Amino acid sequence: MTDHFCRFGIDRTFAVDRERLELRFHELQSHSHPDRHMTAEEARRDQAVAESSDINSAYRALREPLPRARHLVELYGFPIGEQKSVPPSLLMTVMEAQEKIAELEQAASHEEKERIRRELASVAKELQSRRETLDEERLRIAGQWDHAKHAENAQALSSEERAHLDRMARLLAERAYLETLHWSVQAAQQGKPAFIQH
Amino acid sequence: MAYSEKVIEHYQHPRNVGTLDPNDPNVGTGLVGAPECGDVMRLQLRINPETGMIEDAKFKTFGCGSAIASSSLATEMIKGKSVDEAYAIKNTVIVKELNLPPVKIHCSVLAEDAIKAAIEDFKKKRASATVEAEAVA
Repeated sequence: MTDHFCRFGIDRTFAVDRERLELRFHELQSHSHPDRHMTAEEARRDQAVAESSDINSAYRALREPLPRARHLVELYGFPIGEQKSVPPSLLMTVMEAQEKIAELEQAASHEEKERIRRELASVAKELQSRRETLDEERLRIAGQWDHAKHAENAQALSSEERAHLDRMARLLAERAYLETLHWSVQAAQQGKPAFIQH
Repeated sequence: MAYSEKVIEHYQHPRNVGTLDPNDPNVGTGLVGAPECGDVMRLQLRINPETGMIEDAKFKTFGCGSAIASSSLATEMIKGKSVDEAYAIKNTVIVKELNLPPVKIHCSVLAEDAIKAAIEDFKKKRASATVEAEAVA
């Protein structure tokens, strides 16, 4: 797995200085941008294109807090996609919301639609409060992690450090779950078909 | 990505969609999900307490075609089987039957997990019912 933090020459932390990151991005791009190598030989030109594309990917991964957190935990071997232990109460909320969305699509009368919309609005509220709770915990763990120096080699981490990253990976998986659901609920409320991207 | 004919067939004509009464002591409910793709799957089975056979199975899945097909097939497979036989079903059987591509294998894993979760829920219910019965006696 490519270490994008390393690419940018910055520490592996959950919080980063956005301004510094952007400056660094322009700096790196100014060296490898394909336009600067127009007259170079073909091999060098291809290399510049590949480098430039790598820098773009790295920037995309590091710019926003959630993808950045995901990249950090995955670098240490905690893949978000394989997180399966979702709290039962969250699963129930997801199921309930999806059933309401399906009900809304099938509702015949205007009154029925209005009733389900109101119910969906209260589900949306619950989703929002769950997201806020998750974000609070995420920021707390991120703060604790960023406060100390850590080994880059996953094997060299203490069990406490591993527990932090594991908890973070779970949080991010739950967060992604809620995010998908949030968009489905919003789409349903606006009368658009439910949308799940696969 | 192209779905196999079997996936499309199950997707268009899902078997055993619906719900069983979760409060029925002989009904086990398994609720599982895949945070990464937003899928959620509920699989329920009704077990004959005398024979230990699965008499009925229902599912409801919100997700992609493969997730719906996997759970639909799972309900077909477990009906008429004993609890132990159903518990032993591996996701690889579903993969093979539906011809799932590697990126969709997690859908079959979800279905296997749902069967196991439903059976565990049933066993837990039975255990607590026995404890209560003993407490009364």
